[in-house]
Amino acid sequence: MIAATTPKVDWFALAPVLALLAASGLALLGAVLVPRRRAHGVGGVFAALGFAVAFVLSALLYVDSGEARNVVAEAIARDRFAALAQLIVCGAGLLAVGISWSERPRVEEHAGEYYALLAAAGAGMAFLVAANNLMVLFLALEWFSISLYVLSAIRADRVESLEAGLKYLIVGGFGSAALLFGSALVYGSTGELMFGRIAEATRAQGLESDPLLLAGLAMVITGLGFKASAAPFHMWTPDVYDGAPTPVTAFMSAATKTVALVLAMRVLVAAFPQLDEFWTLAIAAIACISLAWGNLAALVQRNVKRMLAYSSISHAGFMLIAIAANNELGGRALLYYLIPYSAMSLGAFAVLAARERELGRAVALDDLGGLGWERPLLGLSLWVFMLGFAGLPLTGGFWGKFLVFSAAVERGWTWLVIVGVVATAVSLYYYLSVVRALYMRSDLEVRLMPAGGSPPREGLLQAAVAACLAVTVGSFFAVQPLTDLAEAAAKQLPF
Amino acid sequence: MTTAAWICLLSPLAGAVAITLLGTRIPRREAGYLATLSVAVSAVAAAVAFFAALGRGGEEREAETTAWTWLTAGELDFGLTLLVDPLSILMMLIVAGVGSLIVGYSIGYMDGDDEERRFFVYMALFVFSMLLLVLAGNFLILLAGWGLVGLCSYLLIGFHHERPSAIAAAKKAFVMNAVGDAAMALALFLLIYESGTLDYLRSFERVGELGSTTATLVALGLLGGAVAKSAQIPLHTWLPDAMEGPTPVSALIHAATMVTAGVYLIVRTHPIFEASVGIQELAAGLGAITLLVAGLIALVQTDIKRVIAYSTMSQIGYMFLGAGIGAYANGMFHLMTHAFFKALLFLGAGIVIHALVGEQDIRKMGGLRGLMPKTFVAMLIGAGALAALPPLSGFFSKDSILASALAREDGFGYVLYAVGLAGALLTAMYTFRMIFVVFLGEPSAFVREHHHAHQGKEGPFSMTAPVAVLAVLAVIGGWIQIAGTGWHPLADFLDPVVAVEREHLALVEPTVTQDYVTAALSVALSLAGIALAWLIYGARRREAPRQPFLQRVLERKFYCDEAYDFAFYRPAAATARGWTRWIEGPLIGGSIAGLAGGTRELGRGLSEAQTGFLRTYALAIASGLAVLALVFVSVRL
Repeated sequence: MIAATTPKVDWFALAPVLALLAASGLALLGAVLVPRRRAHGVGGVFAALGFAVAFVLSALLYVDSGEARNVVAEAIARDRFAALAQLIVCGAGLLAVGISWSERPRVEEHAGEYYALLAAAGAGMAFLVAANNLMVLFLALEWFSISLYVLSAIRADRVESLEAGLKYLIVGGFGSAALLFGSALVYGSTGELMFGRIAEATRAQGLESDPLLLAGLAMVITGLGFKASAAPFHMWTPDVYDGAPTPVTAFMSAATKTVALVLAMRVLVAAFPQLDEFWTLAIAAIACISLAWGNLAALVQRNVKRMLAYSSISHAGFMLIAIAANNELGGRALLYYLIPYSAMSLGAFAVLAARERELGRAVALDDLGGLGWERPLLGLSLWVFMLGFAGLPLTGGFWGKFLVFSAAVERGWTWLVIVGVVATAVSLYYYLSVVRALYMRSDLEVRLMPAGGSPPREGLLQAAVAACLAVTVGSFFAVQPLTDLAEAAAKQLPF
Repeated sequence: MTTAAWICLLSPLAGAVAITLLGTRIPRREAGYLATLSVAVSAVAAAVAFFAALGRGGEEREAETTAWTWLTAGELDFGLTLLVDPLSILMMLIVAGVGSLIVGYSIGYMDGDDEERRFFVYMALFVFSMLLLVLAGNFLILLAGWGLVGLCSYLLIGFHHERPSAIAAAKKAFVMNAVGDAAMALALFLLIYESGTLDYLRSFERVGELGSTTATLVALGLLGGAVAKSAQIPLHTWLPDAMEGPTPVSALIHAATMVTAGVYLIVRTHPIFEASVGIQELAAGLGAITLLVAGLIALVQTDIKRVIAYSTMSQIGYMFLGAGIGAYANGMFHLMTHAFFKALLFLGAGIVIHALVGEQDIRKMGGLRGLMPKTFVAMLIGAGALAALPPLSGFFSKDSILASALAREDGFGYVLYAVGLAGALLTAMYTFRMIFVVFLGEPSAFVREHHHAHQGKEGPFSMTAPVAVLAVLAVIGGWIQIAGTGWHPLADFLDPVVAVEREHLALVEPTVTQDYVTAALSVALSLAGIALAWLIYGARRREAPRQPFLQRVLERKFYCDEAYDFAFYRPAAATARGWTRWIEGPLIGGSIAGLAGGTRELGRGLSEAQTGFLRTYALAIASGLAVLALVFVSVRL
């Protein structure tokens, strides 16, 4: 008989994950035990509570993690870098519950499962950002990915939703396989799974030019690039974002991107510091391709959801610049960028969700005509989100781009800044075309097609949009406090 | 003290936001009450800050408070910092105090107007912006406040957006102010670059280290901003046109507060001006020219609000004169009394305009004294204060500026003194010309036909009460400082801020004799002006002198508008048309269109790669991975 010793577990470090798991379990129980018409309320409340509690716990964890250390047999990193990412994920989750609440008539059938999966996905993401070895990384990645596959397909009555789920599952399998295979190669080459030890082994054994390790690195980059929807691994993104229920898209666009990029930075910086000349250039190249592809393809989209999907690809490109910079300023830039970006992304999809419900069909650019006058809060918010995506001042998007470009300049890669600026210029075209549709259409052009009666008052959705608006604008004014938070977090990575 | 300052600053903003968000959920009238309440809270908070400051010793009356640091870039800290000191407290009291009276007055004045809510939002926003301007603790916040008051001014001048003339006036004000703003922003950039800090206190400490050229350029830029905002020559032409705005706007923004911001700026940044004496004297000179020119033009204006507007320019000229010769406390004193009596005049004129269904031409008015006796008394008090008759407030403040000019005892001082005295004569003439024409004599045909009383009274309570309060203030406001008697609490209060630090620049205190001579001379001239006006317009014993050429020049306001049109607008427009035709169209337009088309084509091509088939997606991932791996490995091999 093998004597198995369990490692000492730092429960506090896992608390946000556990809170979300508990919420997920309770929501699922609710789905079974509570009569169906109440299931929606129960599930929603549990999920919201879970995200709220996890948010508070992450905040406490952030405060308490002045010194970074590895816990639970060194599998989990307990540091501010993870805690800040968890804060973003939990905030996004909470807002996603608010946005989903009005989907009541549509997901009635699976309401309990819906919220359980949302909380479970959140738990997996919170787990992922704290991962400190390749095993935990893969486990957490699959954990939240599988939740998202099902969430994408949860509108089983809609063929687009099913298609999105299936495509995501199959292509996602491809991405996961690349990541797993890469992990195996890295392990095969260095004999280590822990990020820090991989770096040590690489240095100690002089593996800098080991083809096995290099191939492994390429595969890990591919797998993470897939999750972050960076080109050319991004092609699932428009289809899945378009087909999935819009609240799910909102959550995915904010949270998945956050955790994939945060983790990519952690892995590359902590595990492959010796190979930095490889991966920084590779990431920079991927960033350029994402910027070019995302922005160019977004130009010709008429469907707003698809347009935003391409815009999210281009934003992945911006944030990859921060990773490619490979310095502390880059870490700060990435963490700061994610805050307004998540808010803008959630908010924009939330507005689309409201409009979709009103019209009863996918929202094309022309369908936004007059929204700014009809629904002032939503219109104004969408306007601000678009300006924020474009990086104009009075929104956090401005400082996000500013910090990212500063990081690239500090690294000495001015050319990357030039690519970013040109991409921004191109992106103005499609962001402003949304604004034009919102406000600058003459009455004759506006063809309103309400799906019947005036839309219901969606208090929670509007509150969520207002919160996103507050974060988007607030992060512009509170840039110093937020970058201080991000700086304290980025300092704990071994740049 | 600092808490009160924050409440004072944020209350009007909260009011503006609340009215915006509540929208049609509250009746229009309540929007007015809400705006008034928010500004009144400000006024109370300003008073609290004032008394808190009085309770402290001289040095402790200065406090900096930072809400949070917006951005730290290298050695620069950009914080949301307020500076609460005697100067800003005085401005807070004026802005919030007079502001609450005028916003309250607007409830009655704007009653029944379209879009009242929008009006009150703008008014509350303006009070917030103005408070931000005067409370700013660093140049960045100052610039933000400076820009915001300009914006509010633009919005309120163009409030009646259905009138093309209002839109044109709003644009003119905005453009002229933009010239000043640009000059000021450039000056600030230079100052930040040279001194490495944005904070007032820190940068003033480093003024001595600046080269003389730098100091001159910075001071010149700041003066440019001040001149534009305060409608001094040569950037003065927007103010008369700004009278297109509703009368309470003219009273609040274009008389009592915003237009005096230039004076505040000079006083606030006096260490910089003192570092380049030439520019400071230029400020005094511009003030002197403006007070004379504006006084002359006011003589022939026929629009009641324009008469008062030109008198505002002229009075601000006095303030510039005072600030330019280092008599900061006297300049601020005149700023305060002017806020009282000028707001009073505007609001009184507003009551008249209101009673005459919007008519502003004084030639159609006449004999209103019998119909509106209380308004007549109020206007008489305002006019007396403006013409600097004792014991009304304007007498004390204006004469102290003139006495300071005399006390310089050099050629420049004597010139300024003479101009100031001439201005006193003109002021009395145009002011009482307006009073006599509007109120004396028999009611004109127009008045008989159109005058309507408000429920048997001269106006609703919300309009008459502020006028009454302002009338009292216009009488007693000057008593807090009497030249030549040693009673000068205001100067003592401001002393920690405005004390001149350099010995050789220290202001020479006027002697008692100089004070009395000035007072006697200016009162005599004012009385002479009133007598002239009486002869011509009151008793109508003399015909107004006929000088067709002079009259045309004055009516055309010295052809400033035409000159600017010729010198700036036409060349710029011609150049722009030329460039559009010869460069923009063929060269840039074509290439941009090509570029845009090409970009869209690229985008179309890329989105065609999005086939929707999983095999394509997998292929993309696989080939991406293959390229990465191959490059990695081959580079190393």
